[in-house]
Amino acid sequence: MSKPWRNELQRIVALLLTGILVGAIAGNIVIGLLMFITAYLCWHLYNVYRLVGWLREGKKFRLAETGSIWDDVFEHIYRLQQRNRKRKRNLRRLLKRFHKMTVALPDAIVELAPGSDEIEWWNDAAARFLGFTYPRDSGQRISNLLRSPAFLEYLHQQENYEQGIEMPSPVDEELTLRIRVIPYSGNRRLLVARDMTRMQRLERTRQDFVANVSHELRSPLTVISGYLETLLDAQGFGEEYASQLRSMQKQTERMNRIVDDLMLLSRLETEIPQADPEPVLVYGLIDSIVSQARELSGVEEHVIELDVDSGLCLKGRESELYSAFSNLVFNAVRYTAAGGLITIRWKASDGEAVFSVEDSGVGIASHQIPRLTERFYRVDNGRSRSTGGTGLGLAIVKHVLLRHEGWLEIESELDNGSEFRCHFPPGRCSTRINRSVGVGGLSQADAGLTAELK
Amino acid sequence: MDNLKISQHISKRYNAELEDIRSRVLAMGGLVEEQLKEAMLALENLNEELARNVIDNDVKVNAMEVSIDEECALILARRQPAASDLRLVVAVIKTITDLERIGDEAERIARMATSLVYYDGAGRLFTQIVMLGKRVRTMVHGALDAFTHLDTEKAVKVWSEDRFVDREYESLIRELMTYMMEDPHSIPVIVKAMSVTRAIEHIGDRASNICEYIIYLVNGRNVRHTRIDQHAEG
Repeated sequence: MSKPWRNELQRIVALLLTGILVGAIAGNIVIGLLMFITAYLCWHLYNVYRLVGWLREGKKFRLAETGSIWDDVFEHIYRLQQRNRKRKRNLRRLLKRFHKMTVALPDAIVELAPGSDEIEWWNDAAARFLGFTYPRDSGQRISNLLRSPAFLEYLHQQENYEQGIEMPSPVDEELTLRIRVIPYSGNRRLLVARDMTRMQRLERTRQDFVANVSHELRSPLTVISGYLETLLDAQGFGEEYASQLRSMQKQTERMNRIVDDLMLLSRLETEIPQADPEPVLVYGLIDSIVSQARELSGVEEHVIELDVDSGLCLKGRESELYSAFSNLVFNAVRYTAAGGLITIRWKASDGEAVFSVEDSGVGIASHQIPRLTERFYRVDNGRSRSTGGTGLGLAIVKHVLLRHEGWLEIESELDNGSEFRCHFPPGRCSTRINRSVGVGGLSQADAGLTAELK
Repeated sequence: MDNLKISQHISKRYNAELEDIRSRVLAMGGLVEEQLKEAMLALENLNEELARNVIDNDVKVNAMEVSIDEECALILARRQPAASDLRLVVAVIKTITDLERIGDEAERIARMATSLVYYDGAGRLFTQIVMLGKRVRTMVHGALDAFTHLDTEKAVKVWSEDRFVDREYESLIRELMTYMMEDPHSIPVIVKAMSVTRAIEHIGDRASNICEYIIYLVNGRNVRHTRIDQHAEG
């Protein structure tokens, strides 16, 4: 038993005894007892009254001690009170800090109300980038303020928020924003917008630079290769000089190819893809690519096998698809030893269309695969140059696929061949048209091909 | 502005319906704005593909008009709105007609752009037209912003902008006519340029119409066929 309680018990006993004693002297014990019990009760009531008053006053001061169990009660309430006040102060400080943090953030942040498009809260950057003003826009649907169709589509698709979209700011056309929606805690959504203007300007400068440089390089190259040709035709040189001239010519040709590829790439990057592309008969493309590949193979005589669905068409631009597919096939020829096997497939599987080139060549180490589509990335510096690649082939493939909503899958093992697969979404494949187109042509043109036609 | 609060109905569904048509009108406005922007871009850069995109997308604008129209008819029949709700529905019905017309004008500009691609040096002629186009585009944007916030002040501002557009239109036409006189070979291009200018001017008119509906919606006052100085006070 704690001390206050013991004190209290002693007090009750003392009071009772005094009550009985006073009662006995007065002649009526019951009256005496009652008197003292009433006094005791009044004292307690008085303390309850003090407590209530204290609570009502705002509990700023400490209550005077009474030397009874009430001290305990007062003390505990007081301490609880202090603790709460401290906690509240901490919370307030934390909230203020958090608020300052969001204000300092360079990215715009907008909080949407649960399950709707209504704006609940936004930071200062959002006011700057998106033009929201308080309190006018509080509770407004965000779709009423950001009305770009691309944004609305992105906001309402509900499932794939990962990618985000880029759009000009509604306040300032020159400002490009990258907007992402992040779902959190159930059905709430957060919208984050980042200023991409500088990045975009940089990117555009780079694109312009590449396009201009390749354009500028082209005319001097044409002149040089023209003169070289005349010189070689002149035949006035000894064999020593002739071989040097031939090597010069070879290098100018290579440079020409690089410039061509660079121009193609910059065109792929900047041009808007066709809105409603025509279906392309891929079979026809493969046909002409294969005959070129045989030419490239020459004396090395690679075996090229075909497994092609002749009726399957792909919606897109023919010239672009041609450069992508031919790059893959020619790479296969370049990196496969003489007499090696190259398999070209064009089929529909699980709704999507897949173009793949498999070879039995040198293969690629797995750590190099992710970097393959970079410009001028070389797996083996010496080799690819001697085989006549420009170093831009796979970058072109990647960009063409991007423009056709496709993606590239690379499977390879060192010394064990590789397979490059281009996947195209179902929406891009079109119904088969006349199957007999070009079938006869191919089998006659090249008896070495085994064309499996379904 | 306080006399127009949509979210004060007992029926939550009714509120949502009214909010929805408002949002859909604004979404349609966003699409029209985009169409206009791309049409002007196609004209500026003589980009045929972009112009074709605009022409193809006009179907979407038309479809949106029809569906919002039906929705409005349904609300009129089912809820029989009164006062500000009725004004909202009426304003919406009128606004979408004008938005659809703006979409049509954007399509016309895009069509002109496709036919101008083949004229050499046509792009240079369009710098002023493109400037006017930008001005009209900010008008459309402003009108839609005013509709979002039910902001009559802004509406009046956009509305008065139309006078400048009209004036600029006239001087542009005069300039194009002098070009024609100077060089008769350029007449085919200039005629097309003129029709683009006319389309842009029409868009300005449509945008100011939308502003009139906003003033009607908020104040319940019809300001059509009146002059600006009579409403300067909003």
